[in-house]
Amino acid sequence: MEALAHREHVLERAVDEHRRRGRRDFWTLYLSRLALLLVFLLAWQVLSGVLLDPYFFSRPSLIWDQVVLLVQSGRFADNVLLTVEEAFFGYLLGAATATVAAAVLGLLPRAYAIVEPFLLAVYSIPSVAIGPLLIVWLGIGINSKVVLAAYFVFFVVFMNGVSGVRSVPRGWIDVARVMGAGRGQLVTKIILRGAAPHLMTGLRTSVPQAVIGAIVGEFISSQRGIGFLISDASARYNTAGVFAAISILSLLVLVMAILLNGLSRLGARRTG
Amino acid sequence: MAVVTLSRADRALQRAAEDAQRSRRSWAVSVWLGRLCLLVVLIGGWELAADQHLLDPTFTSKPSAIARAWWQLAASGSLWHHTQYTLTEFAVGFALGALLGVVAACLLTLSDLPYRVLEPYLLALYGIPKLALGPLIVLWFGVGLLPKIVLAAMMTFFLVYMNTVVGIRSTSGDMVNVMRVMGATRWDLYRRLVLPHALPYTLTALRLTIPIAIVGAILGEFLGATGGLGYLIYEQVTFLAVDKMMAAIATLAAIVLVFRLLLLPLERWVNRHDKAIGGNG
Repeated sequence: MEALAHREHVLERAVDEHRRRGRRDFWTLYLSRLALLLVFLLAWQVLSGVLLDPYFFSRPSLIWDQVVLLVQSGRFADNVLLTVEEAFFGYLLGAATATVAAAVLGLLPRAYAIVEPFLLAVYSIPSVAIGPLLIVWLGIGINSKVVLAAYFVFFVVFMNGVSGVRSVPRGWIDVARVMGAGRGQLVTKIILRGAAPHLMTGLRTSVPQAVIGAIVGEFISSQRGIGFLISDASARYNTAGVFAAISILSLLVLVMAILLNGLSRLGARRTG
Repeated sequence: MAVVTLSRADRALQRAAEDAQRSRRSWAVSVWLGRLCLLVVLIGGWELAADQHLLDPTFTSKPSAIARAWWQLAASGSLWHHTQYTLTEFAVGFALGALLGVVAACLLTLSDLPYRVLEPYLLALYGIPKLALGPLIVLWFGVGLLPKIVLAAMMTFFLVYMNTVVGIRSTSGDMVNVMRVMGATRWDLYRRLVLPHALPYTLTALRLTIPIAIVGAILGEFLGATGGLGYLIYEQVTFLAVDKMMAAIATLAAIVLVFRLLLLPLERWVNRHDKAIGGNG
């Protein structure tokens, strides 16, 4: 009896020790990461002007000043909102057309086989290359950026969607048919449900693509937006301004990734 | 009597096989016919619509005009001139990015701590849209070939690095242990086991990064260049020369397609053992 209690005690201590060590490892890891970041920023700040040419590399304090300046002058909100708007509508357009196309072509194997080489040809066009064409067609306003963002999104969602539709087990479809499902029911209840995991992957991974499409569109020709801030500052050799705009963009992408993670976790809980 | 039934069954079987073959052949025929029809309808419809002014030829051009523009560009030598720029930028940048990606993956997987410390930084860098760095790269490296090479290399690096790490990490621990017991050095381990195992992963990444490496080069050309297919496209905006833009875009698509098709057999050759291994259980 005593021996048993003793053994339990030892076991408990071992578990405790293990947990403590795990927690310590965790903190060492995070602290070392944080320390590395601080060292990097500090080294940048100190070495700028000594080893690094501040003209090319700027320095963290100057970049911060530029961010503050952007926020105070109101240019921050204005430009960020425009890029978000372009990316948002581009995403909606690209994701919606890609989902519909994937559902239709995934269901019609013969039609898919027919258009496949055409799709492959269009897919081989480097996405950036059609930017100038869109400027000619749609002008330098928001429309050309929306369409370019949609083009960046389309193929990612489409490819995932088609492989999703193809992954629906033949048996499910047969069973649903036998049980009297109509064509509409077949699509909404079986095929879209079955394709959902693949489709969701496409819909999730293409979100940053929409932002990049908008930014690239702004690089090619624009008067506002985060991409404009970057290329404008670069044209004026304002390195701190370039870094400031890139930091803002990275932060935007990060925030979107976090939101998206939360959303998809929520969605998984709902459907799972 | 028995012989008769057997031959009848035989005949039925043969007929069924023929049917299956015929339906397969008719599927192939219908698909190719469909492709041909679609091609004719697309190109003919485009041409006709432009002739009938349903589409404004100033903006959409038309197939015959694009073909003529392509031929003119090719005959004058300017197409090859610009293609050389883009190909050089792509090839050097792609090779550099791929090499650095593989080397970084090897170095970081050698031991655990540097990987765990550096990984989040690499991921954070990966999270920054690399195309957005274009103007900065131009600011740093000017308007020559270098900024395009850097952009193409950056587009290539991360995917190759990440896929190679996945490949290296998925090497079976048992095999590593066996080799260790048999006295393999770390170099032997990487050369004989780990890298061959990671190769298919790396190759997949290479195939996937071909188009995006070219995208990097072209964006670099948009941001400031003296030559290249991207420069050719960008330059034509001012002249509204949609036919020349389309001709250049088609050339780019052809280049991407050729490189992707070139890598496919290589990938198949590397994966040639997979089936055998799967077959043995």
